[in-house]
Amino acid sequence: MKCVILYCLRLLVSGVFVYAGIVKALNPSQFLRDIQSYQLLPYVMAVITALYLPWLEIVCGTSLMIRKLYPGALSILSICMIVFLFALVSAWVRGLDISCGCFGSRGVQTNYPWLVLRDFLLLTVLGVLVTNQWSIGKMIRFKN
Amino acid sequence: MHRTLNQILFLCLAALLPAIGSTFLHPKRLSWDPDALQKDELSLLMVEEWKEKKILWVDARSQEEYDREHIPGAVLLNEDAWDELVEGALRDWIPGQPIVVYCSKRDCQQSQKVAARLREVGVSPVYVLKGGWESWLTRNK
Repeated sequence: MKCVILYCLRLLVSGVFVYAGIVKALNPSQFLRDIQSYQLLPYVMAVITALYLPWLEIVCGTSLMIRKLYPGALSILSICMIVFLFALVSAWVRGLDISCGCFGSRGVQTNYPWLVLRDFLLLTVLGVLVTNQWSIGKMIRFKN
Repeated sequence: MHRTLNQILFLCLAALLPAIGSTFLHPKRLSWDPDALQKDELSLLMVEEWKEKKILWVDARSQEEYDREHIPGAVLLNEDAWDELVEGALRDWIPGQPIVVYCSKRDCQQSQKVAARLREVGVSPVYVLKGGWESWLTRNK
């Protein structure tokens, strides 16, 4: 039962990151605007992030479903989520009006409590997967 | 641990390849020049060249900032009070008349959001002033 739940969580996280990455990769200029609205990075760094981050999400999201790359992908996505959460909270503290940029949304009014809660939930799921890496490893071997 | 680090390195490099590809091949590829105009953005110089066209300036900042100072003739229209302001803001707008939306500075998002909402309700053409109110101040000091 535990294995099934963990497998579903892995599938969910994988889907979320692949979807988020695709949406952002399709419209890098919108994602660049979203990054700029956080006012954390100089322009060139924001461009590099807008070009690289969506693909990192797609590659790592996909790799969550690959046994040999699972621990690495999980580590990268966990670090990414911590950074996203930090950026979001810092924008909230500074009272910025931002587009989250999480799923390429645009023209939506910022709802900080909801965004922080959503990121926190995703980070919690990643935490559960990290702490259960060994059993997932066994499960993947079993499934393969 | 060592194996995980190798995987991290491999995944980071694997993501680098399509990222480099999209840098050069993406139809909406990004400019490395911070002053480059994006789609539907105008610089103040470009707007000033439109003297013969009667532009409707839309101030997407807060009521407080608008009351303090704004571009002469600009109307207030922001997301916080959209429903109350939209009718009054567009009262004097003639269909086809260019609308230029601005917010406080280059990194602000309000002008993009207001411009997007105006387009959604069928207003066109709508542009965003690159650099916002700050660029106006710099030019008109």
